[in-house]
Amino acid sequence: MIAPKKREPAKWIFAKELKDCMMIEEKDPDEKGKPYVITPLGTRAKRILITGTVTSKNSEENLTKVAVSDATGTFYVNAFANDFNIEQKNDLDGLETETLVTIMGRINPFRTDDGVYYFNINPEFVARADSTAVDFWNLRTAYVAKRKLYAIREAMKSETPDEDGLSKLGYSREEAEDAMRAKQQYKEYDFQRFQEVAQGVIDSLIKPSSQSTETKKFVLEYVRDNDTDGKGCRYEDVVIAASNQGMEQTEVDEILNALGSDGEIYEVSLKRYKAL
Amino acid sequence: MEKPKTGFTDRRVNLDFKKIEEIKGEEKNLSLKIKLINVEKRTTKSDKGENVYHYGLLGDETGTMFFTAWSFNPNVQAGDVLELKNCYTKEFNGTLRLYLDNRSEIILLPEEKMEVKRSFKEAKIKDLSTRDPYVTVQGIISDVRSREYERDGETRKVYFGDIADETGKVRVSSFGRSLPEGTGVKIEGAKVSEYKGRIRISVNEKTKIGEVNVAPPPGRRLYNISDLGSPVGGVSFSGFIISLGEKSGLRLRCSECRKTIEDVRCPDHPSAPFIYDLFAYFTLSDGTGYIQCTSGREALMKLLGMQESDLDPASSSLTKREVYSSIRKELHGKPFILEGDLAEGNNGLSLRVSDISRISRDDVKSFIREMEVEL
Ligand SMILES: [Zn+2]
Repeated sequence: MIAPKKREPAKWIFAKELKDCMMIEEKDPDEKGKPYVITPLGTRAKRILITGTVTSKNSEENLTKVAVSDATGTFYVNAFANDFNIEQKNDLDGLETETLVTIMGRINPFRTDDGVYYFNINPEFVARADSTAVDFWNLRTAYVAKRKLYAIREAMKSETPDEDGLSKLGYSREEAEDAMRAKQQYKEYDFQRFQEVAQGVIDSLIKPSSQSTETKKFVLEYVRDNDTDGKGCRYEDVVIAASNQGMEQTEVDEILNALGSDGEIYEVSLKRYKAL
Repeated sequence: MEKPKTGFTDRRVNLDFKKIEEIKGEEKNLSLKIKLINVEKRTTKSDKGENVYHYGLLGDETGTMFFTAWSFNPNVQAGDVLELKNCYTKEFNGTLRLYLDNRSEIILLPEEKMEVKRSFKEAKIKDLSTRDPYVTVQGIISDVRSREYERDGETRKVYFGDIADETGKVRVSSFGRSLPEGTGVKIEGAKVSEYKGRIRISVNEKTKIGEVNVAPPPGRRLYNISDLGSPVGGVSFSGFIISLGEKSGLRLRCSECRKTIEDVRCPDHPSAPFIYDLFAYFTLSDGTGYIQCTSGREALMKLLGMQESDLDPASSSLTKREVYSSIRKELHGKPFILEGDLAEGNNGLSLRVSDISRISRDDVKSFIREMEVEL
């Protein structure tokens, strides 16, 4: 019924993984298109899927350049006004800074005379995203990266690592191959640092609201100012006031818990709070 | 086929015959008397041309073992009792397997009967594969239906249903014996087969079905695309939809024969009115891989917020272009959880989607919890 061509998989990688890349694969002379890049985590990629915030845009008649930042760095996205890219160029032209986007595109590597690689993304599609989509992408990209880092650690530990051995430990074929590539080609890379960056992304997702000082401050001040009968501020009142500020109830719960454990407020009686 | 002289064979070789339970490790020059339980042929292609080999399951009074035969006698079939000489065992994927090559001998014993002691490996539904054709599975039976058929002048009954565990869901069929709806069962010796690209299991007179307590299946069985190898059902994936097939959207069907009509009329039923249907095919990427998906009207109606009346040509008029654009607007470049059944086709596994739901804040929260458990 449907006979799709074998498509080039879109890898989900952070800006840091692409920026730290120092290797492109030798291309078969007959092979069309750009070569594969080999990232420090061993990812072999031609096409990537990213999300992030538009941080700058430069529109010219023939070329639009957009910078898209994730939590770890910046992707540079370029679209020319040619037959293949005109739709994508128009989509980029329509973006403003601070817009959240999802972009799939092909990696276009180039090398300066002193041997440094830079990477542009030529977009295949540009879609507007919301914060949920961006958080989801961050989470899964961190998940994929962490699994790779674990596989690399196993490969580094072993004297004679191979794909089969790594597969037996529960890694997918691709993860095993990536780990072997990373071990062979990026022996000196600071994997520990990458691990910290990936963990940082996850941590920021786990406590987004309690880490936002603004929402925390709002709840704390509300509790302090609305102890109307001296028995403590009512939980229901906090929830209503917070929802007027666009916060969800679960977010309020998290903030109240965080303020409690920070020693900023305490629960006087059931669902009544006082500020300290 | 030449049959060895009885007596001679018995006296000389019996001393060397081994029972399956006696084989404990990698051994050479093995002689066995076995019954062939199941055999499949496989053809592989390489630079040097085609290569044919056979594989399957064999057993004796003490147990069963998988085998691979690089060289085989095409005249023997499942159910035959055989003498095998000069074969060897080797570990493959963690289990001991019997191998036959061109130095091995296969002798058919047409008169012989043998009662095989069966033991079945317990398998989770997601791991079911025709490479391991007899297994024990546990799960909850649902959607039981039955059909009657005639055989040897008698009316018989076959029962169909689904069996689900915490890893997946497949179709189960049973000849003659009814399946207990809504009940946890343990099926020992279920036969695994593939039909229309999907794994299913069947039970026969010899299969044991017992009732057991089984935890109710989870609401959602979420996987990485790289996790699954078998075409089982009831699975979910989360990712971004990265492409939408051009011919997705509205389909016209003949109200008489339900076939898709390209023009305005069905060539076979030109006077029959058409009905609207929805269909989409798209690609989901989840960071570990991608999977081709197809979706029919139920899931798409929910996605587009459509009612039955919106698909009734009497009360609604839709254009292909409109429907395609609204599907594209909803799906393309956005994150979803897709639930459905996997099917094996020429291009590998694809997902027949039964539910499409946009990833919500709460989903992200539950993904975080699941990830903390895994990593
Ligand atoms: Zn018709």
